[in-house]
Amino acid sequence: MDKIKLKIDGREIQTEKGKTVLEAALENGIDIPVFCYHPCLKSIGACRICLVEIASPRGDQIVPWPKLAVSCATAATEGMEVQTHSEKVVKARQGVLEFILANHPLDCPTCDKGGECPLQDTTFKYGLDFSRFEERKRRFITDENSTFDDLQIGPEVIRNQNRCIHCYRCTRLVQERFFEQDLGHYQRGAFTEILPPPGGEIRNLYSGNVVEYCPVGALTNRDWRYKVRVWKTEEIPTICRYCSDGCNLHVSVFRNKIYRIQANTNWSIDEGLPCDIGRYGYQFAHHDDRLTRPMIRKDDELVECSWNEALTVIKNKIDQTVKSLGSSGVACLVGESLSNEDYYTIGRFFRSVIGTNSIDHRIYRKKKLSFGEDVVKRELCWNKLDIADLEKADQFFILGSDLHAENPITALRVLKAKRFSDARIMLLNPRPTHLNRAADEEHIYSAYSEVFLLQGLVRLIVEKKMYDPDKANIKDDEAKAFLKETADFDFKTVSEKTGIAPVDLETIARSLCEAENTIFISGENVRIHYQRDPILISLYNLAKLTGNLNGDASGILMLGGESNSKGCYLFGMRPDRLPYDKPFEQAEELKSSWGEIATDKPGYDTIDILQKINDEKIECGFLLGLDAADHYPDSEYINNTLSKLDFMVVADLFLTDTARLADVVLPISSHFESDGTFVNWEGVLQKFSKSIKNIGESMPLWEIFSKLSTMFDADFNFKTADDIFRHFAPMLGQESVSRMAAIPKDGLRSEKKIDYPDLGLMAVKYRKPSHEDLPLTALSGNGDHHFSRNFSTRCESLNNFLADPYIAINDKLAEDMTISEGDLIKLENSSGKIVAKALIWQNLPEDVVFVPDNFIEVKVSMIRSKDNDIDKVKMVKM
Amino acid sequence: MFKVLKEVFIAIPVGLYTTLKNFFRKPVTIQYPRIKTPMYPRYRGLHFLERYDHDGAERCVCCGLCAAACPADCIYMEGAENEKGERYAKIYEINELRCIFCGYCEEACPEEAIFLGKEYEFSSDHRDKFIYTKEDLLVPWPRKKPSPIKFIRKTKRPDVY
Amino acid sequence: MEKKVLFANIDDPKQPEIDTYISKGGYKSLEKVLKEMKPEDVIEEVKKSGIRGRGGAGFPAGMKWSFVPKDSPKPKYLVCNGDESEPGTCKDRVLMEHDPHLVVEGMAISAYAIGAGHAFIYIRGEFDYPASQMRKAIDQAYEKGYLGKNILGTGYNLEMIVHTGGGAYICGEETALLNSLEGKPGQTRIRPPFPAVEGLYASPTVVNNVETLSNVSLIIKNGGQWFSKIGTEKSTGTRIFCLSGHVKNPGNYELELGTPLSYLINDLGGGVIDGKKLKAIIPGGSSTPILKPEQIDTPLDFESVAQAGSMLGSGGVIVMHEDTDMVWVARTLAHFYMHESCGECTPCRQGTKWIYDTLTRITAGEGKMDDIDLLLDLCDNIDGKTICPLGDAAVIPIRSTIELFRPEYEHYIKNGKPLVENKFMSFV
Repeated sequence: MDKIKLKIDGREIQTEKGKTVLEAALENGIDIPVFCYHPCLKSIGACRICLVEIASPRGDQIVPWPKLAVSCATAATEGMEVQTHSEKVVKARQGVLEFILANHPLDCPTCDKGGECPLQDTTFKYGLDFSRFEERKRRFITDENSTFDDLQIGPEVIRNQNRCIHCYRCTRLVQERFFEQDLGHYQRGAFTEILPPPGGEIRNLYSGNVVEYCPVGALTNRDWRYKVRVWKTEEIPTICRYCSDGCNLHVSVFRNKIYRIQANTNWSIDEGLPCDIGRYGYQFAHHDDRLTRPMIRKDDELVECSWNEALTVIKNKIDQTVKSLGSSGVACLVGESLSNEDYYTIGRFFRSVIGTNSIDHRIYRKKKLSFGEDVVKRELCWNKLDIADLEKADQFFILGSDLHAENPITALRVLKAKRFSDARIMLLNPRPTHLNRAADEEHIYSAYSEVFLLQGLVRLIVEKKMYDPDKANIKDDEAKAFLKETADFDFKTVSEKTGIAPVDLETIARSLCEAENTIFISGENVRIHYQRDPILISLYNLAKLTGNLNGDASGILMLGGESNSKGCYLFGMRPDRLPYDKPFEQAEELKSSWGEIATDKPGYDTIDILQKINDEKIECGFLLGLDAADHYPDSEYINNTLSKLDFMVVADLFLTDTARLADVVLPISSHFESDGTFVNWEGVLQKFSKSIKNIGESMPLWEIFSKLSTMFDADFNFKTADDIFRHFAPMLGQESVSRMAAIPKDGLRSEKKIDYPDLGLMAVKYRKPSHEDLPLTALSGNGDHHFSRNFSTRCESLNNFLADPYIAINDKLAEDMTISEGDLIKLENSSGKIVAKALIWQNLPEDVVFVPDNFIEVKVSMIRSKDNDIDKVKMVKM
Repeated sequence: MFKVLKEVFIAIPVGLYTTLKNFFRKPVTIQYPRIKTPMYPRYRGLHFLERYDHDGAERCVCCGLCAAACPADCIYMEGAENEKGERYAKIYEINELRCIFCGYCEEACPEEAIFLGKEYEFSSDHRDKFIYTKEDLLVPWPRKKPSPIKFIRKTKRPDVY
Repeated sequence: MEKKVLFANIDDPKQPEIDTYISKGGYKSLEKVLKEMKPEDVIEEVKKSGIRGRGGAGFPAGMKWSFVPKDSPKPKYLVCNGDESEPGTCKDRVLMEHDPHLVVEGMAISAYAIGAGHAFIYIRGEFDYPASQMRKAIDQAYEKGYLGKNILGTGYNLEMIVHTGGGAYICGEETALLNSLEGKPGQTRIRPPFPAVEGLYASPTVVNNVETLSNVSLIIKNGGQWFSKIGTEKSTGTRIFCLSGHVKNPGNYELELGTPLSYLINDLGGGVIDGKKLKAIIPGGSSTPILKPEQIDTPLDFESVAQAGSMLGSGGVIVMHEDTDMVWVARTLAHFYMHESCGECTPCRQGTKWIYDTLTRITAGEGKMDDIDLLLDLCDNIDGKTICPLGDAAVIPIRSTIELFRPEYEHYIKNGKPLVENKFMSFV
């Protein structure tokens, strides 16, 4: 970057070329007030509050500019002299502020922004203390009867147009960054109104951000409305518990209650733009359903008891099981959104105290869980890019991923790349997803034909020699061998099987070869696919062939999962892995601190654990922070299996379907009630802090297991989360971080970035899926504004966006069966049935139905069977 | 001897004169509680919350400035939205035991809602009874007597503000 | 003196037909340009003519064209600004209605000069008839092969598109016009980048007024030398002036630049109506400062008018006689600017409304003496602090009425009624 020098208020300042005068001033601590400027948005120079006096050199002289200039849109140039507090500037600034305040109502006492309002602050600092405005203030009357001119323009956004200062931050944010069309301005001049389109409302996934971006109280939150004044609250940093992006957030707490969540900008991850799920998704913490006391089954009923009683029962039962079946009679399944401290303590308890390695977190797949040998060899189990790298790419190949709903913040980066560097977005999905609003190409392939699609594309590129042999590093005989091996994946068959027209296939192939940097993103549909490994290998082939295997802005990303899926992996929540991703061979180091641990053979994974329960080899099961009965893709099987357990301990926040089957239910605290760390999909370790006291008698899992271990006379008894962090900190490999407090604000980023090994093309086989002979394929995913289960549906604000489950069907199918929107329909197969309201999606393929799997009322697992690769259903109108 | 006589005939009448002089004076003490002294205009006694004259609506919008100004931290409030979409105080409590009657709340109030009145007789037999809720503090409606306050703002939201 | 160049054939009712136009030598210049001249030569010729933009700012057209980067990989666009909404101006409308082919030919030549493949003509929303005339003319030109693919066999392609606005004054400002053309709200963009570098669809774009582009075909036909001889040294050519207000014969008159204002008002316009005395003249549309009757001999060219303290603007000459209430004039114009402010930047959005409110109060008899200073201060706070010139334009009539007619304001405030009873421009 070229450096330039300029003078602001007589101070010599150095800045990078291309920055604006405002940026140069702000980064050097010179204050210029702003309203419409925001670092995330393009400057439009609308508010005029940032006017400065500029003189720039022409020849030998320094010539003052004839007019004042807006610093937010004036590029800083060499030798410029800027005055930010000259008489002329102060007069102009006061004038502008007077204009802004002229029609701004002085209703600060009733305004939710009061106390954190940039207009208040700026007026206090730069404004006049009197007003010359004597006319009537402009009013936008929405209701003749009300004295307040508020209008609800979205499920969670309330507008008061009187207060609007027309900075257009909200509309620019929605249109520029979110690619949404649900907020705009209407009318003109002083009567410009901010409104959603006629008949619509602002309900995009990021809608809460407009409230935060509003520099006055024109847009306020329904959730936070009037409840508490901002200066009463304490802001505590936290991390979002939903998706694996790991947004940094701020919790506003007053008297031990969370009132709202706001962004806590981390430029390398969320850029201060969290999605609504993170923003409103805290409400479960204070939900009435929260468990407050431990419960024990007595006479076939769960009754509340004391912690001591519950833990004693657990200890006795474990002792009994170990005596009768050996330590392998105990197994543990964990959820993916617990903290690393929890995982560490759980792992240590089961491995060193009990001596079992049967710990697993992968409940979501029907078949064998581990990555195959070929995938591991190609190191496809690691994401090697950061979120920020996405900005540099110029093409995205998004396969089987509802990125918008699974990783909303990653989706925002993809959109940013599109907006600022005109990246191409290619969507290939079995169903339409909301990211198609910005996609250049969207192809809907027939469900479960990914292998055909990818291998077909690879073959097409090889066959037509579209690739650059140097970049791809492929020899001719290798290519020939590949063509021979994949003879059944010819152009016609692929087009037939995937339902994508040959022309489109060729366009996809061509644009893949032409683009400089392509990022391949696979999502939840691939993660739970019955042929996940072949798909990943085909993606590898495709990346290799197009020269995108290794690069700063190209590669393969496997997204999806929950907030700490990566942490599960890193902290040993697998039968064959020890904490910090250590294989059993490297257990020595661990043994020195943990004592003796069983490393002779790996434990059982989920599939085996369930099998062993049925074989009565496991009698004592722990389900920690996991609603297995609901999560496992075969409702009948898991219910039968779990009820066979002799003794089952469930630790959760709510009385879930799994907890109802348990012998002991332990109430655990949410991540708001404890310190801890999460690892997001990039591998960045971030800390969250305790913001409220534990609800009821609930305890975080690490505390429960510390207590439990003392009953077993084990030598660890962690008092705080930081104690645990200090124990595993050396394994993180960064010397400076030994305490939780030392984790940098942007998170602890692991330095290693290993390239994928170049192992040549590998042909994969298509395996015909087993399924029932029924007409429709059932796909599931996240519903609008919901994520995963049990949590988001317990948030009132998120339910305002979508409260009821639905089954989405194609319009033609609906017409054939005379179903109109809102009719009850039933999906059934031999496994079970679900009933919900119909919703008609026009571009959904005719043989696919989509069911959001967030709702307790509709269990998608009911129509799934572990014996079938694909869940086929038939539909009946009720 | 003379000295003694002098004391008897001079000193005693002089002393009695003083007694007699004060005997006919108006007494300084009053017969409280039958009779009460009038309070000075700026006396700060028990708080009360005012209403709008035209419709009896509460003036308080729960802005929190009184609580922010309070040096004794004796005011607690929780806001909410009423059926008309207006902001009001769902909970408004003053702990009169903590209160130091400085009158800052009155100064801070932008809505002319809270005032310190002339009431000083609010002793009680239990500490809990000193937590005055909104119902205790609000002036009765309809008013029994006209408000002692001269309001600047007459309606909730005038067009010019 | 009156010199009909653009208006040479304006009275011919058949002129909008392409056959008539061709028979009078039309489209010859286009043919000449395409077959004989290189784009650079055209720009050179236009530069030689010294023609200055007729839209209001008076920027030399040839210079504007030469700012278009030659090596840009992006397509280039020509936009003809037919969003004529300035109060008092109605010249482009006449050209588009009565001689549309002159405009089409001028646009085609200019598009060739800057290397544009698309030319847009953005016509004011209320101009229904001119838009239909232009559409008809363009259709005819396509038919005859003067537009479209491979024009006259020269291999040059040009698509011409008529676009009507939604009825906003601000869309006459070039960047707002471009936004509107892109389908966005008509709000201005911040400059730099200038449209010549990054305009329509972020590509190099030239925006010119209808009258300017019409002149181009005549410049090519008769040579830049010919054009530069008309008018004064620095203000070449003729100009259409739209005479309105209290004159006997209002209308559009084409004058050689440098002709005295008195000639236009007294000789062509027939003087002030009813034998009243002249009070004020707005020389170039409502956005220009007012001239006093003493300045009636000012020659109408860019420099002389500027010297007199005003601007030639868009050529809308508004004449007001002695019975005009100048405060009411200011209020009427303030209403116009308030109504037309796009609402993007603060000073203009709030300032115009404040000024209008204050003037309304004064005219309602509730003014205070301080209001006059307040108005002047508000003008100061708006002037030069807005994104586009609408803010600057909005304060001009207010300032100049206060400067020239302060006693009227004072009388209004003191007595609650105007000095003169007749309210001119009282359509609000």
